[in-house]
Amino acid sequence: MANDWNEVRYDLDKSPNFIEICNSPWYSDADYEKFSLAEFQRRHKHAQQIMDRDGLDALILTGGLNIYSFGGAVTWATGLIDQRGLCQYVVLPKEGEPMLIYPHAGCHIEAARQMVGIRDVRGDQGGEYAKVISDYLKDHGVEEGRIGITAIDRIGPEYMGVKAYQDLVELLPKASLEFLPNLLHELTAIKSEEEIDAMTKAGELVIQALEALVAAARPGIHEYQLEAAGTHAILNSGGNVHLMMIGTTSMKDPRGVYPNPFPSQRVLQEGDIILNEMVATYKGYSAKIGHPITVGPPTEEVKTFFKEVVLGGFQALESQLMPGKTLEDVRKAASFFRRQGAQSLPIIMHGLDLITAMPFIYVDRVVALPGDENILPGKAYAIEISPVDSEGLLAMFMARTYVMTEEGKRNLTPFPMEEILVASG
Amino acid sequence: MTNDWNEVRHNLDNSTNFSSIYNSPYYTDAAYDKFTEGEYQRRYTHARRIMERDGLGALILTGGPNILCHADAVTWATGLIDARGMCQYAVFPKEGEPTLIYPHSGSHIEAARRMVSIRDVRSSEGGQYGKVIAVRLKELGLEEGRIGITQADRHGPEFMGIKVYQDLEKLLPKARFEFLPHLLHELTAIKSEEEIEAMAKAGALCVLALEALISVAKPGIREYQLAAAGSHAILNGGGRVHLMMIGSTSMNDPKMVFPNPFPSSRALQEGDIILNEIVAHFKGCYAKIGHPVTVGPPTDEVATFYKEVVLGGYRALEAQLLPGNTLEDVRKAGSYFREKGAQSRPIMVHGIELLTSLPFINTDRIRALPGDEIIQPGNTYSIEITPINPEGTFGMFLARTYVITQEGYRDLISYPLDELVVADI
Repeated sequence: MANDWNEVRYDLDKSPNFIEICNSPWYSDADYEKFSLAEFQRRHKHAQQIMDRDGLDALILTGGLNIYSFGGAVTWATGLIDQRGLCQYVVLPKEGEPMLIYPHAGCHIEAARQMVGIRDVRGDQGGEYAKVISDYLKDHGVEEGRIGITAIDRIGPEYMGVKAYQDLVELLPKASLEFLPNLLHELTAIKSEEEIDAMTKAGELVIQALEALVAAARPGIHEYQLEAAGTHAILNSGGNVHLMMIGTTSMKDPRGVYPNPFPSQRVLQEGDIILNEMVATYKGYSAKIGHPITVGPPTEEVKTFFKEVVLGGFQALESQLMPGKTLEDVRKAASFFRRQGAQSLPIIMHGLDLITAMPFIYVDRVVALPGDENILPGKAYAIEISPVDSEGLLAMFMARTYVMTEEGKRNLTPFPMEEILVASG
Repeated sequence: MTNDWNEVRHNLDNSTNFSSIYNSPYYTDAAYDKFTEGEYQRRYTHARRIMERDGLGALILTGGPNILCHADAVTWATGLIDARGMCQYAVFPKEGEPTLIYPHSGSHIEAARRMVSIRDVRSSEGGQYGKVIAVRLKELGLEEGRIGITQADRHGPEFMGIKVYQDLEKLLPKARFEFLPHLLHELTAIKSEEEIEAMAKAGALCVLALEALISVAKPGIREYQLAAAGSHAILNGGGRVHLMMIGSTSMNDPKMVFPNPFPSSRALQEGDIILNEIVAHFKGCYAKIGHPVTVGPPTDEVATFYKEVVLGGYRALEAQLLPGNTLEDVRKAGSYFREKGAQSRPIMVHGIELLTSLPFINTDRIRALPGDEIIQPGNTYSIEITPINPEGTFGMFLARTYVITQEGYRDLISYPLDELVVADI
C-alpha cells in the first residue's frame, strides 16, 4: 500500500499519492537521541522469551500518552513518543521483527520513521488498525494463534479501543486474544544500564525544573506560570514533561494538602507555600521530584513541620529502601508520621516501569505483584510522601527517585533535602 | 462510597478513607477561567434537542488526551482538561444532570471538582468506569434505553476502551449502545460568542508562541529548544499546547517540506529555514498558526517561492473563505499552486470542532458531512497550506485560523502574512 516517494514526488497534491508515502528524504537531517540497537534487541528478546514461556505467538503492544502511560509498551518497543490516537499499536511476533502502525499519513509517518528504533513502520490505512494488525499476523502464520494484548491504562486496566478490538475479533475469528495487564511490568521491572542512564538524565531535568520554578516564584505570578517555567526547563534540555502538578496556598490558611493536578490562575502572595510534583521523561523513562517552596520566609509552624515530620519521615523511609529489604519494611517505616503526632496521605512510595507503576506502598497496605516483594538491584522507586497535620489541613509533598544498586541505592534526583526552599521573589 | 472530609480528616492515612473523599476545603482557593453557566446551558439544550430528535435516552461522552482529540465531548460538557486515562467518560442524560467519572481519587478528584462546571463528579471506583456509568444510567431509569457513545479519536474512529464497553454490555444487557462518530461535530460546528472569544485568546497565544520561537532562533539552538520557547509562551499566557510541530532544514539542501511532529536535537545553522505548526487552546478552544522563519536572510529562491507561490496561494484560498461560498469554491482556488508551476501537500483547509475536524478540503477532494458544504457564520476553519516545489524536495507551511462572520471572516491570528520572518542572528 505504500507509495515510494521517488515515484510520486512530482504529484504530491494527489491525496492517494501522499498517503502512506515512504522512502522520502524528508527529516533525514533530524537528529534523535535513541537507545542503541542492542538495547532494543535485548527488550524484544526478553518479550519473546516470555512469549515462549507462556505459549503466546505474538503480542499486540499498546501505548499512548496519558497520565497512566507515557507511551507504554509502544515506547518501550520502538522509541516512539507521540500523542497520535487514543491508542497506538505495535505487533511483536515470537519470531520476527516488531511492526509499528502509525496513524498519521504523509509527512507525519516519515518523521516517525526517523524517530523510532525499529525498521517496520506502516500506515493505519485510514484508521484500520485491526486490518493492519491482522494482515501482519497472517503474514507470520499466527492468525489462529494466542495473541497477547498489553495494558495501556493501569486504571481499569484498559487495553485498546473497542473498535480496534471488535474488528480484530471479526478479522481473526480463530485467534485467541488475551489481555496481559502486567506484562510491561515484568519487562521493565529491572532496568538496563541504558535505561538507568535515561532516568538519570530525567532526574537532572526535574532538578532544573524545580530550580526554574523557584526562580519564577514571586508574589503576583499565577500558578500556571510556575508550570510554564518548569515545563520550559524540561523541554529546553531535550526532555518531555509527564507531570507538572503545582499548587499554591497560604501557609496560615492552607487549602491544599497536595500539589494541584490542574495549576490554576491563583495569584501567588507572600506567605504562600508551593507544593509541586514534577515528572520528566527522557527517551520515555522518568524521574520524579517534589520539594516544598515558600514564598518569603516559612512560618515557624511550617519550618518545624518540615524539619520534624517531613524530613524525618522521608529519611525513615529512605533508610529502608535497600537491596535485601522488603516492601513491608518500607511500609512500616511510615509509622513515623503518627509517632510525630501527624498523619499523611496513604501513598508513600511506588515503583517505576517507564512511569509510575506497581508496587504501590501505602501507610496501611502494599499493592504488589509476585516478584515485587523484595527490593533488588536494578529496580527503581519514587518515594513520595505527603505528611499532613493532625487536623488534615497543612501538608507538604516531597519526592525523590532511586534506582537500586548492588551496594545500596542511587538517588537519581540529587537535590538537597535538608531545608525547605524559600523563593525570595 | 464517598467519604465526607469532615468525618475522615483525622484519619487521612487510611486508604479507604482517602480514596473517595469529598467536601474538603482543598483547592478552594484555586481560580479557573470557565465558560458561563449560560454557555453550558446552551450546549446542553442543543444536545438534548438532538437526543430528542434521535430518540436517545442518554449519551456517554468520551474524550482523552491525544492529538486527534483534546478531550473532546468531555471537555465540551464539563470543562475538564486533563490527561488522566486512555479515555475519559461523562454521562449526559436527556433529563437530569451530567455526571463526570474521574479516575484519580483523593486530592485529585477534589481538584477536578474545582476545575469543572458540573456538580456531579464521581470516582471511577478504581477504574470501574463501566460500573459507575451503569449505576448512573440505572439511577436515571435508562438501563434499557438507547445510549449514544461519542468518539474519542477521529482515526478509526475510536470510541472508548474495550474493557469499559464489555463491562457495560454485561451490566446493562438490555441497553442499546450506538456509536455516534459525528455528534460532536453537529454540536460544535457553529460557535457561540464565548467559544469564539476563547478561540481568539488561543489565537493570541499562538502569536506569542511564534514570537518566542523567533526570538530564540539562532545558530546552535536545537529544534526542541524552539518547541520549549513556544510551549512556554502558551503556558505562561494561561493556555495549553496542543501542537508544537517544529522542524528545521537547510534552505540550500532541504530535507523537509512540512514541520516536524517530533522536534529533534538538530542544531540550527545560518541558512536554515524553520517550518512550524503551532496550536494553542484556551478553555478547550483552539487556534492554529504556521509561518516560515529563516535563520539569517532567505535565499533568493526561498524569498521568491514565498512571495509568488505561498503568499499568492494563501490569498487565493482566503478570498474564497466567505459566507455563502461553498467548500468547492475554496478547493478550486487550490489550483493556484499548479498554475504557478509548483505543487502542494493535499490538505489546504480544515474545519474546527474543539480542534482539527471535518470538513477537510484537499487539492483533489473534499471530505465533509451533510451541512458542511456551505460556509456559514459561526463556522471556523484553519487555512493550512504546504506549497512544495515541483521536485518534491522543498516546501513551506503557512496557517491561520478564522471564524466566519455575517460580513466575511475574522482572522483569529493577528500576525502579518506578507513577509517571511527572518530570525535576527
